[in-house]
This record gives sequence, structure tokens and C-alpha cells, in this order.
Amino acid sequence: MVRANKSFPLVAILVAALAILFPLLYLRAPQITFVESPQTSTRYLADGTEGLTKQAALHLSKMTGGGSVGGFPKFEPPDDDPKYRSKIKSRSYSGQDANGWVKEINNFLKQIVERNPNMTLEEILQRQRLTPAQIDNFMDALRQAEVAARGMQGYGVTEETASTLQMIMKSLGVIPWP
Amino acid sequence: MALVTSFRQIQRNVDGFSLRVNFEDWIRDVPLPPQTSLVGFGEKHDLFIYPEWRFSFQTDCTDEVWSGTFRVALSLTEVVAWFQTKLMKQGWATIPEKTFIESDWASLKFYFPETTMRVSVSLRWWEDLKDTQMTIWRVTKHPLPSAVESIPDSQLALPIAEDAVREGA
Repeated sequence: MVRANKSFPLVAILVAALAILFPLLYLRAPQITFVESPQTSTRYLADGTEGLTKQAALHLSKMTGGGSVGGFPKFEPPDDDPKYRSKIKSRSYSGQDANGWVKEINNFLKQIVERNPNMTLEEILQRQRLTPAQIDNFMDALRQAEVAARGMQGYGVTEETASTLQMIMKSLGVIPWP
Repeated sequence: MALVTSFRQIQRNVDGFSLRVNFEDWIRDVPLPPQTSLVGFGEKHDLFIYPEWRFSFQTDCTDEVWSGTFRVALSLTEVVAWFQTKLMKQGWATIPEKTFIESDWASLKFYFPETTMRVSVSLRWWEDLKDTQMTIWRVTKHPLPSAVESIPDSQLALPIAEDAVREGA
């Protein structure tokens, strides 16, 4: 009994320490070991992917009247250039214009493919936290650009530009129709 | 199966080929709103993208795709309502989870029950032109027949070889 009484304060201190430390350790644990799901994380995308996606969206915006594509900032043509503004806002762009814009889109998407091998565009957009509606909008804008490029082939859009876009879409797992 | 009276151009694609067809040959089972016309690009809006009838060869099927880009001087809301009403009357069923309607764009998806056919209607409102641009795809998947089914009955018996044997005898 005497021995038990002597060890009591030690046991009490240990129990109290555990009572204080356990919740702290338990609550800290998830923060230490938690790994974000690939579906919601941006950390798995290669550096620069978001900037390249934004640039691709900006050029797609030119082919959709300057509207926002995938929730990215829309392309606003300068006010002091009415001819250029008309090309964007009034659908009066030529085949040569479309060829230039699609070449830019190809350039940005190609870099995205190279930096993120074996990833689909849908996954890449999901990891940038786009909503399902924004992803649908981005993919549709890309498909429309493909339709326009092939439709204008021979009228300013080269076969190389149109077929490169088709191949990049295939690499990104985007079939040319929804 | 749709038939066209004539076509404008044959185009080779990376996975098949396509025919450019006239506006009048657009498929009847996906009707367009009244006053619809082809979209014209260029300074004079005289560069048209004609509808396309496309065959794409996949490993497990052949995709038959009709696509076209059109415009109509109706608001986005009116066009959305028109397609939702008209296509449902034609027997198409909507896919709500893949349908998105925003203030200046919309994406509508339909399927035809008990078939492999589906339709996607992508719409965008052009404020300066006061019209709605429509890009439409109708996709039909044609599964590949099995190897046995693909051999015509007449070839199964190898009649030419049999004749040769008989003649030799």
C-alpha cells in the first residue's frame, strides 16, 4: 500500500500528460500524414501547366467571340483597333487568323502534353479545380476550334495546323465530339 | 442511315474520312430552329463551314458523326428551350448530368433510347451580332461485327476451290 501510494503521483502525472498530449498528437497526425487526392490537387501538375492552360483558353476565347472559356479570363480586344475588335466580336476573322490562333493553341497544348505525359485534358483541368461545367466548356471550345480549323482547311488554315490539333487532342484523350 | 443528294468535298482525317455536305442535306432527326443558316466567317461573312458527315475507324467500332456549325437570330434562352422541346418530341432523351446552361453559353446532351445514337448541342451567344451560334454533333457507334458474322455465307463453303477440285478430278 505504501509503495502504491508513493507511485501514485507519478502515475497521475503520466495519465495527465497522456490526456493532454493524446488529443494534440491525434489532431496533429492527419495534418502530418495527409496527402491530397490527385483528383483535387494541383501539386501533381508540372510547373507552368496552369499558365499554359490559361494561354490556350485565351486563344480559344478569340474563336468564341471573346467569351470566357473554362472560367479563365476572356480575351478583350483593344478598343482602339476596330478591325481587330470586329474579327473577335463579329466573327469576321479569316482563315489566316484562325490558322494563327490554332497554331498558338497547338503550341500551348503541346507543351502541356510534354510536361504532363499520360494525362488527359480532363484530368489536367480537374487538378486545376475547374468545375464540371467549366471543363465541359473548355473541351467544347477546343472541339469547336477543331471543327472550324478543318472546315477552313484550304481557306487559310493549313492541313498541318488542322492535323496537329487533331493529334494533340488525341494525346490529351479528347475525342473530336462530345 | 442518311443519304445525301450530293457532296461538296471528301476529306481525309487521321482516323478515317469525311464528306462535306450541303446545308440542305443536314439530318432530319436533329432539326434546326427556323431561320437557321450556316455560320459565315471572314470580313464579308462569306466563308462558310459546311456540315460534315464523318466516319472514324476505332479499334472496337466505327463512329459515324454528323457535325455542323450554324447561327440563328434568337436568344440563347430561346434556342435552349427550342432544342429541349423539339428534340424531346422527336424521341430524344436528355442527359441532365451532362447538361450545362450558363448566361452566355450552354451545352445540351441527348441520347436516343435503345440505340447508340447521341446528340451534343453546344451553344454560344454572340452579343455584338445578336445571334446564337450552334455547333451540333450527332454520333452513332457502329460496333464491328464478329469475325464469323463478317464472312458472307457464299464464301464459307469456298465454292471456287471445290470447283477446281472437281475439274481436276
